Amino acid sequence: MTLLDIVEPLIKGLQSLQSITQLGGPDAAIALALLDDIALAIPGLKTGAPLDTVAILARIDAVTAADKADDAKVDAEIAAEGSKPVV
Amino acid sequence: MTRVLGWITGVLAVAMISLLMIVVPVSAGCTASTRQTTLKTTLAAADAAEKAWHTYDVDHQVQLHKDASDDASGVKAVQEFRAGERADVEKMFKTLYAAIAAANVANKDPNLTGVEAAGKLLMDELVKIGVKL
Repeated sequence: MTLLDIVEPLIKGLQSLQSITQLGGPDAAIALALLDDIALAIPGLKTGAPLDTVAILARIDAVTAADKADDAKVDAEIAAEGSKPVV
Repeated sequence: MTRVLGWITGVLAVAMISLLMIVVPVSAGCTASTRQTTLKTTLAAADAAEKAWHTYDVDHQVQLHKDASDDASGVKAVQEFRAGERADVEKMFKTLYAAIAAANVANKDPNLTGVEAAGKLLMDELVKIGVKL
């Protein structure tokens, strides 16, 4: 089994769930129950303290830091490859 | 191989953002407990999407350089990506995190709508860049 075998059904499932929620009514209630199942599948999601707003805001700065780390990796990889010949 | 991995992580990013599109709309007008679960699920999805995005980001930049005919144009392509699409995605992630933080502080439905809008903006941007479902 490849990653694609896992990802494709996941996307189809999400799309189906989205279609159900757009119908509203009892189907939306079913969708909410499914979301609870999804939440249960994420470790620690249903337990513990409420979200820490400061920790969420810290992610804003972390995005920029992660981008800079990406750039450093790319620059190192490009440098390791060496310059390409000019065609 | 790098391109395939980049595509897969891009798909995962879109899948996680798709989850945001599902979670938030059905949770408008929900109880405090469901609201907190919604925000936690959304934050987990955003975190996963961001992690997947950074994998895609590195792979894509390296591929841009590899695909160029010479070093100078490769570097230029990478610089343009960083200043263009990548900068936009960065703003979208920041907006999404800010929206989640606002919804966590103020218990009002419009804030959940803001989270949904921020998630949609991010997904649209990923699709615009060429990440396909």
